[in-house]
Amino acid sequence: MTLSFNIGTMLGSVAPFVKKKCGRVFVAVSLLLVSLPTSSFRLEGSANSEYKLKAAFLYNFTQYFDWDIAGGDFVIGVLGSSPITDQLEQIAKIKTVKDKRIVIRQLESVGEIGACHILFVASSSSAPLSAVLEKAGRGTLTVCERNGYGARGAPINFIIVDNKLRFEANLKAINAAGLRASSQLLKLAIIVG
Amino acid sequence: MVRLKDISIRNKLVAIQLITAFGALVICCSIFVYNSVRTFKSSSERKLYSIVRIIASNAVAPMQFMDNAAAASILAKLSNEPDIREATLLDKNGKVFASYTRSPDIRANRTLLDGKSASSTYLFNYAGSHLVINYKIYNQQELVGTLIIESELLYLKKIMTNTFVAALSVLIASLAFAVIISFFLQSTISNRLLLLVVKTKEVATTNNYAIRVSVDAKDEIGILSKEFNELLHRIEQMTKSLNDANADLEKRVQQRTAELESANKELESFSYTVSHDLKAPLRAINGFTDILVKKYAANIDDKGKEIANTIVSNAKKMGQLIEDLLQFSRIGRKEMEVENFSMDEVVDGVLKDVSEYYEGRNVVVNKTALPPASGDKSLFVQVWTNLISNAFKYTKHKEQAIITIGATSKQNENVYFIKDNGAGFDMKYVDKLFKVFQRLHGTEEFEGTGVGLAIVNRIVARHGGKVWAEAKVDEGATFYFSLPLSPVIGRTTADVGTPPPYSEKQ
Repeated sequence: MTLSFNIGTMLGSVAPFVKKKCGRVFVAVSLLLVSLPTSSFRLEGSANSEYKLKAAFLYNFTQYFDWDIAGGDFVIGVLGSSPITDQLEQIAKIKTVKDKRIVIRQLESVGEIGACHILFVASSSSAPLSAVLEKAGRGTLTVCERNGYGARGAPINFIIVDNKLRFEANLKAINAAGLRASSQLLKLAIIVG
Repeated sequence: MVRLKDISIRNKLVAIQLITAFGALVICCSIFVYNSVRTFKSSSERKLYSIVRIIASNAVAPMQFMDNAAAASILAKLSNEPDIREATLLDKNGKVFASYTRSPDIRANRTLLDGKSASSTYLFNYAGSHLVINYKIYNQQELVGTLIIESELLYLKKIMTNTFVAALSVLIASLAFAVIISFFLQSTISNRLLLLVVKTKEVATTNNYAIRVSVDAKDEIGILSKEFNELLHRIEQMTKSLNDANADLEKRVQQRTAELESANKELESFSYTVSHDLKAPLRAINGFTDILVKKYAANIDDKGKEIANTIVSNAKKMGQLIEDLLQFSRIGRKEMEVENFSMDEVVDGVLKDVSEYYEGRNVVVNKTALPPASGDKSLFVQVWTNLISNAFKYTKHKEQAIITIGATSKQNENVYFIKDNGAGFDMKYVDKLFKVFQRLHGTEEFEGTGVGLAIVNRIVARHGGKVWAEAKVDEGATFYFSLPLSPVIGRTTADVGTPPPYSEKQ
């Protein structure tokens, strides 16, 4: 049986294209191809639903990065107070990452940042990004939620585009954190940096 | 309507072969078509399943990150597959996440198949020439969504048509081939059978039992041919021996007939000659006795005269006897001159002659009209002369003689009769009546030689008729003879002892 196209090959060829060009072009192209009903994805303005989604995204990220989690738990740190903590706790109760327990740590200051696999920097946190990144160090995926942070060096940064939750990926920052993102994820991300 | 039985074996064989071939081919082609369709369907399923799996694996991330634009772009890649009519990606709640249709006027099928609750991750459903697959997308044992793809099986119809055309071509070509082959093969059976039939017909029409069929095989037809030959051989032998026996018999019959004819001729010739030659010495006896009585009457006493008269009368009797014998013999040899004549005329003529001869007798003759007859008229003059003479003769002791002559007509013969009231005879001697020299009365009582009725019998028999008589002693006799309306002229069974026509030159 022969396929008239090979999706695997297609993905391989699309990925570099996405990396080189501006992410917005990709989104525009995608939108041109198919007009989608967006109602089910529209953020209703409720903080709860926004952070529920963000928590789910965070958890889903665990499948697309290659952490070294030889021993212990999978630690998600939340810097600054945020509704996401409650949502993450909900997920931690029922989910695992590669059979490891998920532990949520609420961090109040940069100084409290320890060994985390994912560090979520809440918008409420006033800590400077550079300090956070420095403190987080290798092996930690830092995720921010502030416009422009992606370009400024956050590996992943949540943004709202057309009332929909999207995320920016800074490849340099990801590399600097000693992590590798899967091409599947990068296809969905808005590549910056 | 031709019955199956009556169709020639040649056609029957061809028909049987064709029907067999046709049946086998139809079954083969049906299986072939069915198999092609099934193969196509299963290959379509496999192809669709592969596509679905690839699409599904790529759709996981977009669904996890709610990126329906990315999902739609993945589905849009299906445009490279002309078979795929539409595809819909449902999230885990069954809501449409992204969809694709090949052309905008197609309404996307967004309903899940009934097997949603089924444990299998995928489910196929055929709707006409459409193949629908439901594929549940799992990520880390968690249901992410469902992918529904409807494929149109564009080639199914084409493949079915092609397969059907191919099957039909194979069928026709094979049948044509079977016809050709069977025409060659059946010749080994039917041609030989036909040969047998032709030979049998030939034997039946020509009676030539020397005909043989060549036996070149040991199969049933070979055995049949061999037995046919054997049968013909036997018939030939039997016919030959029968013919031989027949020829032998014929030869013997001819020989016997010749012997018989020659003996008869000799006998006839002998009796004729004897009778003829006896006349001369008899005339001498008669003549000289007469001279003796007349010239030497003075020298002979009364006793001598009486003896001499007895000699003369006996010599006369003997002469009469010889004359009758000659006549009897002549009747047997005489060529008949057949003509239609009036029996009345004949009887009237004879009556006149006989009455003159018996002048002075008191005889009453009652005669009714007689039907005419066909035959030798002169011989019937003889017949009636004898019969009427007898009637006069045997009534001589009656004071009043009554003679009745008449005839009755039957379907195919006329029966003539003459009845008298004379001496009659005892019926137990009736068998002797018509034989030569057989007399029922003494010559002293009634003169005669005993040849008359034998002559009547012979003449009537030569005309194909019969003679018989009824009588009672002293109450008279009735003589009958019959003549067929279509006369059988010549020798009859009753005539067997009669000599063949005899040349007067002898």
